[in-house]
Amino acid sequence: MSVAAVDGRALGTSLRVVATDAALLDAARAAVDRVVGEIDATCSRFREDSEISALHRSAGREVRVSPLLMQALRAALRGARLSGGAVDPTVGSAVRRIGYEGDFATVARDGAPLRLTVTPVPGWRQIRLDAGARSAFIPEGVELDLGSSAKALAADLAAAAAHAAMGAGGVLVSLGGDIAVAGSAPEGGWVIQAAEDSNAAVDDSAESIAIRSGGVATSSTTVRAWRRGGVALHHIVDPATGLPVQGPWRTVTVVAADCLDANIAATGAIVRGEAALAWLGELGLPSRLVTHAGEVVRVAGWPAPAGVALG
Amino acid sequence: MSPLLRHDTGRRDAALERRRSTVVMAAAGGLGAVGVLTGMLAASASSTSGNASDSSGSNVGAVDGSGGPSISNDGSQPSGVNQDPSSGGSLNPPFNAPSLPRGRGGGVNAVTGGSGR
Repeated sequence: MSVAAVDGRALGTSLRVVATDAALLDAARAAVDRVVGEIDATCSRFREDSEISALHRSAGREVRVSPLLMQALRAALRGARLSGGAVDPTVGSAVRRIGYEGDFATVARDGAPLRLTVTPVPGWRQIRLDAGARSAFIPEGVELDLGSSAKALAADLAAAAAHAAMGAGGVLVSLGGDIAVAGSAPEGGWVIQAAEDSNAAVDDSAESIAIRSGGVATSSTTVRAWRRGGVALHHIVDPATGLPVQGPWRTVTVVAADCLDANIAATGAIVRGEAALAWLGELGLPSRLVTHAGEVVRVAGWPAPAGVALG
Repeated sequence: MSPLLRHDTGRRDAALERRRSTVVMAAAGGLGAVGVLTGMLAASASSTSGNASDSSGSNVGAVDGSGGPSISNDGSQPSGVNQDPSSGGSLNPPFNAPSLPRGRGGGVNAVTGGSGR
């Protein structure tokens, strides 16, 4: 049975849903749309009517939050902890200061010079959650950006919801290149092409892998990028400086048990720099890292194309 | 690369204590060519760095789990989503290792990469 796919847009990026049974694709897409819509309404810092915007307006006091926002906040804090603070949700103000002030489609690709200050972000430990009361507290002045984790979480939840709606077979959900699969894989597995840009055209000669479960995510400094005063900026902020990461990797792709963990590891690797190689290896996360010069390093079981030795 | 912008996490705390620096990006400059104008970091390094072993998560309770989209699988793969900050010692590797695709031609199901539009 051949797979069927449908493409669209969501969360300010591309959306792709692939089902192993064409007859179930509509059900899968409807479930994905529902979940992604809920994530957008809950976690988008660019929507004044989102729940996280309301949380920002309530900074300085404890407020009750929805189950989904609690889940997203917990996911973000877990990512911060497991990345050693490299992936920190309190980068919101820093991201805004470097020029990323709205949906990326509205961010001018070039502009006047910015005056920036090296300022560590407030830090994820400033956030307090009470799961029993389902409440959250963020200090005044702290702005959250769940972008690093919420899109991946959305892919995981959407794939699971789509599979439940289908009742059989398997499904792949890609949100801007953050990919989650659920259910049974097609024969030979889900084939994923690794690229700098998730909007890259399918290229049979490009490097690809096959997965049967879990998730794949890529973090890159090259795509969501802009210039101010002739200086190249990008959206991956180092919590230690509040500025775009200046490390050895321009793109990192990771395979993990789910898309969320893959995303945390990919972004964490960009921030960690050289130390990422050992970190990913110790975690056993198959990864593909690309230097700014274009050199590709594969670690922890990322399959090397024929004739290429593992890095 | 500027020493300011190195990303060796092992040196981060010490570096943070030395710097609170105004950085001016000149029109023709780059982040690697920033100018350090003033010093002394006021913020606590402990709020921005650290590792799993020093994060007790004492303010974080147990997973509520009610409402919202739920994770459902048919048993063919583990339900991997784990958002409990107070549990799970590491990021989870895939249940099945990735492999090279069999054959070539028209088989790509999705493209992973950075997302910008």
